[in-house]
Amino acid sequence: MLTTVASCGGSGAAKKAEAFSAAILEPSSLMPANYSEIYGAQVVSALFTPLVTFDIKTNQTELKVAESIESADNKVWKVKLKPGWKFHNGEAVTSRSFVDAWNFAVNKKSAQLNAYVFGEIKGYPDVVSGAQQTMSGLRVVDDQNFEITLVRPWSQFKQLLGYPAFSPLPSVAYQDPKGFEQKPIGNGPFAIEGIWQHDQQITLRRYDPYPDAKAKAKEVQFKIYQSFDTAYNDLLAGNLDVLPAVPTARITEAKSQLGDRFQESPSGRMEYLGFPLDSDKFKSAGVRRAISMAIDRAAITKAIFQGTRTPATGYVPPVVPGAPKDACGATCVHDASAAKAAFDEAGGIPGNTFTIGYNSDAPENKEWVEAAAGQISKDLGVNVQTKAYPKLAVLLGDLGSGKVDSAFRTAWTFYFPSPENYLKPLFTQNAGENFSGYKNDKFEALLRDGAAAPSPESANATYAEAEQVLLHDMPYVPLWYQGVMVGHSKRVSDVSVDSFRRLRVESVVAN
Amino acid sequence: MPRYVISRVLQAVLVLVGATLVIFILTFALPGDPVQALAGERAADPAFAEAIRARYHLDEPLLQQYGRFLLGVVQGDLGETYSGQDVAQMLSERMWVSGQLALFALAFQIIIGIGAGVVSALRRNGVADAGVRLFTLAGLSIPFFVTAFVLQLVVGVKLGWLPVAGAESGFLSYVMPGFVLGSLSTAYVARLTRGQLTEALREDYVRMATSKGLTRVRVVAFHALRNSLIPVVTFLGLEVGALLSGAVITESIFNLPGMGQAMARAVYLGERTTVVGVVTVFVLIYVVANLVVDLLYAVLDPRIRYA
Repeated sequence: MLTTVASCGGSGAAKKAEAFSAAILEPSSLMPANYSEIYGAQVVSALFTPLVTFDIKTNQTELKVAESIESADNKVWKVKLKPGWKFHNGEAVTSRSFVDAWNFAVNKKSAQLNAYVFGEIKGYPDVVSGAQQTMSGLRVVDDQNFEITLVRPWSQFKQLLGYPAFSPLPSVAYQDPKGFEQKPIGNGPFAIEGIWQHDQQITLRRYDPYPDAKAKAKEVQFKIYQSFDTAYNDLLAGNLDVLPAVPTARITEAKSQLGDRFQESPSGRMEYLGFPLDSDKFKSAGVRRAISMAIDRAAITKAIFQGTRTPATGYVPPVVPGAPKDACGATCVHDASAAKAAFDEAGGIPGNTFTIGYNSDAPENKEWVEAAAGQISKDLGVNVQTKAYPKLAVLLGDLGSGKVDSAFRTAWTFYFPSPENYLKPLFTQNAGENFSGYKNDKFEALLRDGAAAPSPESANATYAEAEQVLLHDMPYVPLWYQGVMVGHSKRVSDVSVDSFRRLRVESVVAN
Repeated sequence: MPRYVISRVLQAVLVLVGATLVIFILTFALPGDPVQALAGERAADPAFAEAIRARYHLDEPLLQQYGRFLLGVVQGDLGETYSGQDVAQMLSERMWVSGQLALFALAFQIIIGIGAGVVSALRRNGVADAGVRLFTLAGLSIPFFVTAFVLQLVVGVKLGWLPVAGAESGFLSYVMPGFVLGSLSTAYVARLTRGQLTEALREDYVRMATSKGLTRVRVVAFHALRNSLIPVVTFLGLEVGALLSGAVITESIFNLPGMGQAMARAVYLGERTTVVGVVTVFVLIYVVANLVVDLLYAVLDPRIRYA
């Protein structure tokens, strides 16, 4: 009995030549402008290719569908497309494929989650409100050329175009968006096979007429898991080829069980301790810097995160081109006596007590928040409490409505590789992610200068200055940069994950 | 009998309306804004939030939303999930997965549970009895998710006898999760059967049957066991409900795309339509299971009849 079971179990996962499987969690959406997490991004990036992408090592911008993207003033951007690009249904990729897709993404009726990333294009407010159907800043010149006009100069716009929300859509997408979402037709290296089988799998087949570098494997099966703990077991049992995020709790065993089939790479995600700056407790920048110095980042990343996170040395992770080195200096390094001195000099915290809020639905939050609270209590002589929120949505909701009087755990992942993307969305006045309520005119003036800068180098220099302003004010304490831990089977090689934490499916070689 | 069935069905409708209304109200009390849950780690854009609220009628008063839901149910429309799937269609696909899982669990409970109970009662204080009591004690005291992880690692990963997770291996996919889901109650069924049967074997009517010269098998199977099974059937009927809630965890651990899994995520995302849709199905199953139990009483004990 058991032998028959064994043989059936082994052959259960059909192993096709040049095909491999990769674990994901259920994506929130497969529409380029509508997903909210990395697994949607993962599948969307295999199905669609935008105007530009980023080099996996350097994160430098590379032209893909675009032949050139130019602007004399950082405000009007001229895009010329390469010839020969087609969607998987044979439709040619033209200027319309982009312009219509972007208008669709912003249109109120489409209710696309990532519509806001088009916010700098002229005419955005009219389309998002439903008053207009098309953004006035988008102009089709001919099939291969179109123009984008922004509301203000923005030197980083070319990078933004690599965000998957800027992918083109074929005309069939608008006829039945719901149906399209279950079986998207893109212009990427892989085409969908069948439909999105929710909570089970999404199978993609290599698209052979792809005009850029073709994918190496013929087929990729994204197996959808509820938890990567189960996926890790499946990897050990030989039913899964790539696990792009080994759970932290299993890293030690993964290192010994997988050997060189376990690898780590840095990502663009980082975590912070944030403060509501309106609160009496946190209005002193000196206090905030003292708290930063009281946190032993090295000890926490080693003990709790098993070395998979790196202590932060500024607001911009090193994977971003143009990131300054060690911008934070001593303020981000643990020093109990300096911290205590700075804390006392700044006048301390009223009541000598404060709370750190965190969401308990993510694995390690509780551990590190409690560890940090303990360190701060000990070094500064204050009473630091912790408060668990059941879900991130609850904490973010409370923060958004200004109900929180406690420090809070928060995180950010870039959507394009520029220092600006770590500064503007989080710390400019009224920005959606500005949970601390930070406002500094000098900082914002520097960001505007960077946006108007004539060259990438001068832009980055200005952003570095802006980062210094921020480090002095410290609305958030930068904590650590997150790494990605990938495990894979013996059947595959050339497994790499980019700093957006996406597996580069096109480069995986399967036997 | 038909009148009895009709009144039970009418009762079921009332229970259904009541239960869905309660769940509907409760989903409003779920912490966190569902629109924010959709947006993940970023703050939801106000324009997006407004559009989603309008699309899913989240901006309407509670009773109006409930009325809309009931109207939909009558037309066979349970609404759609936030990822654009039709809830009714999604549930019909998942019901098949959860149904197979529950059948496996029930089968384990009936075959192993009642079987072990009978063996134990007949060989009281023997080696077999001691063995059954030891295993049932273990079954009752070890949380079933622990059993799940251990089996997954040993039988799935180390020995490779059964698939670790997923539904793609068909029949085999359900053996381990079905066993895990059924394990706790299997132990309980075994103990219940043992106790009931032990008692029944001491009754006069059993001794009478034996003295009439009936075979041991006939006495046990048709006289003693039949009477002993009434509490066991009651338990198994109620168990259907427990199986559904246990499925939430089992389906997650074994990555089975069933209703329990859909429920878990829907609660997390605050997806009202899905939560209420799944609960509607749960309540229906529960009501039907109870009806079946009541009708089985009549079969097991002819003295119980429904006019």
